[in-house]
Amino acid sequence: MRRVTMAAVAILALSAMAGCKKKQATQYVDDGNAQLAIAVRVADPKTAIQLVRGFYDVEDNAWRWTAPKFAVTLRPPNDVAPEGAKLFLEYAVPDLFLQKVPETTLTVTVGGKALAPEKIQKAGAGRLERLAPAELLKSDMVTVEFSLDKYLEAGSVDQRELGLIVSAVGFQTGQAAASPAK
Amino acid sequence: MAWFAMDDFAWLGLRQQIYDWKDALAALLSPMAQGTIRPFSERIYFLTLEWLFGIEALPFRIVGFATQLLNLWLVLRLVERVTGSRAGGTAAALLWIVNSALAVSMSWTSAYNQILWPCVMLAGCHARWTWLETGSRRARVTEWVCFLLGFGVLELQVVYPAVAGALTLLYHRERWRDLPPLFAVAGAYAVLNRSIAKPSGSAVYALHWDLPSLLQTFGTYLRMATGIWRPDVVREMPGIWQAAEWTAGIGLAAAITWLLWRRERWALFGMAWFAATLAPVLPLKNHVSDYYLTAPVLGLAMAAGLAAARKPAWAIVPVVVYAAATGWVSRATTLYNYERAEQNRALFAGVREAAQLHPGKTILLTAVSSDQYWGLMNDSAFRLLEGVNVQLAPGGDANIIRHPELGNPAHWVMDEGEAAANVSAGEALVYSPAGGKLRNVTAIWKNHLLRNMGRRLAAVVDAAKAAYASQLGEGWHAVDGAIRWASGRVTVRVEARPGAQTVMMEAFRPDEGGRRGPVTVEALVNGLPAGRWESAHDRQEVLLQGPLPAGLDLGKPLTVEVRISPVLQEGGAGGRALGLAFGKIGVR
Repeated sequence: MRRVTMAAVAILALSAMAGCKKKQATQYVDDGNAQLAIAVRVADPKTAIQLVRGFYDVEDNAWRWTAPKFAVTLRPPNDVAPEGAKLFLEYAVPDLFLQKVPETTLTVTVGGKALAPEKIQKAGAGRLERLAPAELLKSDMVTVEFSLDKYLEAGSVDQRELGLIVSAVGFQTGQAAASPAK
Repeated sequence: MAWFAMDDFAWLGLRQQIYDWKDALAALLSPMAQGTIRPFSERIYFLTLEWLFGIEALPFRIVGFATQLLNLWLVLRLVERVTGSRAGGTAAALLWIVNSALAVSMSWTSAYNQILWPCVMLAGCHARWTWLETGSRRARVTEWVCFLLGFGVLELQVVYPAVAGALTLLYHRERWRDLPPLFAVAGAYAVLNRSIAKPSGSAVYALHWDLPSLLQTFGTYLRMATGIWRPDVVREMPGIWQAAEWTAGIGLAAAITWLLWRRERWALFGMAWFAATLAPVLPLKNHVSDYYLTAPVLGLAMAAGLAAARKPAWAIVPVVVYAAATGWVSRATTLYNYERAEQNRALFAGVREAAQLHPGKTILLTAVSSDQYWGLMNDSAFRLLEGVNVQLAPGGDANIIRHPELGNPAHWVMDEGEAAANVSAGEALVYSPAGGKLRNVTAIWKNHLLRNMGRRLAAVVDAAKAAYASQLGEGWHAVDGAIRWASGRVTVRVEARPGAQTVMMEAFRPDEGGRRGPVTVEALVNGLPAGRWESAHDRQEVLLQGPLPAGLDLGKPLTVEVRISPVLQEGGAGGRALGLAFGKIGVR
């Protein structure tokens, strides 16, 4: 009788275990909170999720054309100096761009607050640096938005509206903010 | 193994349209996709395999490869029966299967018609040859069955009488008298087909009948027939590829010339097959596709195969060069299709998993590539996931290369205000396929949307969703399941987007047993009349749309007011006044 009881209990226990809802395995989805990077190489697929708006496909495994307005979400540096953290944008302007658009102004906002704009009048590689005030960098993520007042209209050289060629954007780490806001 | 792409999803969703026998007949026989009716190669093929195996590509590939194996056997036997050369038949089958024109047909499920059509054509030719040789009545019936079934495979079957005619006139011209009925049926079908097929209106499918266009398109296909050159991929070929193309082309021309010099009528039959099966696509000047050559190149392969078998020593160099070059292109094409299809599969499977993790939530996709959009979303692939609403996140269409003839990605984009409202209310989640796995980027987007777009009102609100509650004004009752009742007068605040032209509403009136008769609905925008409609008592769905009044400042929020009369009085006097149960309302 005791054996029968034990067998019944074992069967019930096994049934219960089998009936327990298995944790849903996800093969194609990463549903956890993404760990954001402080700076983004735009060709790096690991950080591509931070390019929230206005970045076109990767070209030459190195850069992307942007739309006239583009935005990236960044994790602010851990230890922001009282004067702020240096934000950088590595970009290039092709000759073709300046032939059609001799001058354009790039405006930058961090967390909705505008920083000093940049006039672009020269072809070639450029690096924009601005000091983002510390009070804007207190949350665990901040969206940085860029906007060009003049750009290559759709149909002028491509069917897309084209802004800049961007290779990297982010907060500079490893050194204190060196220059004041321009 | 390549997964599904593009048109496949339209066919895979066919079963969702079937509720009764009438629907089933319509699904099988009504004109679809440029007015085509291909029950055997598309409708039954997709309906059956999807019903049996679901969204699984393997059964489709197995059927496709089995059909092609049958084709190879039919080619081999036809050449052998007519010319007496088994080696010629084997060579013809091999020269055909290696051609890169078949790469798309073999790796894209929707191109199965290009594989099944040669099957019925070859089977018809076998039956005709038997009849020509023996006079067998059974063979004649078999040919007619193949001929008629072929119309359900591909409308290009109208050229079968030309192929059958070539076989007859070349080998048994005394039996020509049975050809006119074939031509008559083909002609009648052609007339019927043209009357059914709706002109697509797209420049891509426009028919160009002028001789220079036809000759130019023929020349393009002739050059493509070596399977080494494609006008859309290789424009400036490196020298080695040009040498390969010349070698294969000269080899083919020499083979046909040599056969003709020897009075081998099979060469003429091969050329007739090529010209006849290619002829129907020649007016499609703007839609030159390599897989359209699947059947035509068989004609050239049949001729060249016989020549190669007759003079193998002369054939070695051109055949090896052709096989290596077109084989390389085949492999590259197949790999390209495979990789694109794998991207589709990963995105589709990711969305399915995301929907299982968050049932009932809208899924917004960002960073969708052009290939993923045109390969998956544009053909409504996600409607195969029942109850899952998938849209592009705001700006999600900017990166997608435009193909106006195929569709408009902007139609899939959720409005900024709607996205902000839905994401902040937890009704929508944002996912990105960038970097491989589909990643939940809702937190990033919430930050972005709320900062930049959250202050904008949605242009269209779903009254039943809590996400839009802040835009609802007077007269609304509490949410009741998937609807929200409006009283006799309600207001909603919206913000028009550039180009907005209409005020719209989607409402519902449950079965009222004729208690209140027709209902009058009047819409005003900022107090200006925008429309007045009457909804009959037997219509439960109320879909209304009217032009926005002139003189509105669309740069500022608008107030849409809706007046409904008469109303139902719930529970008699003193109960809630029920006008209509609303879904969406706003301006577009």
